[in-house]
Amino acid sequence: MKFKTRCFGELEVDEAKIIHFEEGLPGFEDLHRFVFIDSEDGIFNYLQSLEEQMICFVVIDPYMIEPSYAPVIHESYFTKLGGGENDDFVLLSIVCLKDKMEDSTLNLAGPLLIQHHTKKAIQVVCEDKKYTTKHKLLQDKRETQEIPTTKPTDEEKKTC
Amino acid sequence: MLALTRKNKESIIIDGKIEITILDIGDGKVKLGIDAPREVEIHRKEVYDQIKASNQEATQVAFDQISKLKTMIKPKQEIKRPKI
Repeated sequence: MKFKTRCFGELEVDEAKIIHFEEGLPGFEDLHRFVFIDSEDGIFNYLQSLEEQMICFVVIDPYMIEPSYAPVIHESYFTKLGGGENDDFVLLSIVCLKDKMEDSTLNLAGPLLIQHHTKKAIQVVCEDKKYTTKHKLLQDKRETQEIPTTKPTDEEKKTC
Repeated sequence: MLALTRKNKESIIIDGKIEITILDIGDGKVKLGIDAPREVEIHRKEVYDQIKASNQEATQVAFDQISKLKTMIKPKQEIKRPKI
C-alpha cells in the first residue's frame, strides 16, 4: 500500500509491518496505524502516521542516552499487547527536537512499548517521578560545546 | 460530574470492582487508597497531561535540523534492537 508522508514522500508500506496503537497516543487518540522507519544512521528513527501524513514522531532508543533507564511498566500494558517474553518487546522514546541540540529532549516518562511480533504498541504512562517528559538529549555541558558548525550536505537534506 | 461528600476512612465503590478510600485528610492534601483489578491503569492526571503535551510538541520538531543534530549524539552504549 502507498501512503503520502510529510518527510518521506510517497511510502510503499508492507501491511505486515504496520504498527498498531489500538488506543492511539495521548493527544493523538484517533491515530492507530504507524510505520517505523529505520534511518539506518543508528541515532534517530521515525514513527510515521499512516492516517495523518503530517504526523511523524522522531524516536530514539532511550538506552542510548540513558543506559540505566529502567521504567516500571505496569503488567497490564504487556497484556494489552498480547503478552510475550521480554525479548518480544521494544522500548522507544519520542524525541522533541529543537533548533538547538541543548534544548532538545526525549520523553522518558511516556515510552513507547512495541511488541515486535504482534506489531501492537502502546504509549506507557510511567508514574516513576525519576523520569520526565523533558529529559535533555545532551546531559553534559561539555557535550554541547562540541557542536559542529558544518551545514548538512544536499544529500542529507533530501532525507527529510 | 457526580459530586459525593466523604469523610476520612470512608470509601466509594465504582462498578463493583474499584474501591477508593479516603486514607487521610489534611494540610491541603487528601490521601487516597485505591483497590482495583490488576488490569486497571491508574495515573495521576498531570503525568498523562504532560505526556500529551510532549507528544504534541514533538510533532512540531525542526525536521530540517535532524541531519545536523544527529552528528552531536554520541551513544553511551551500543544498542541491539530486534527489527521492528
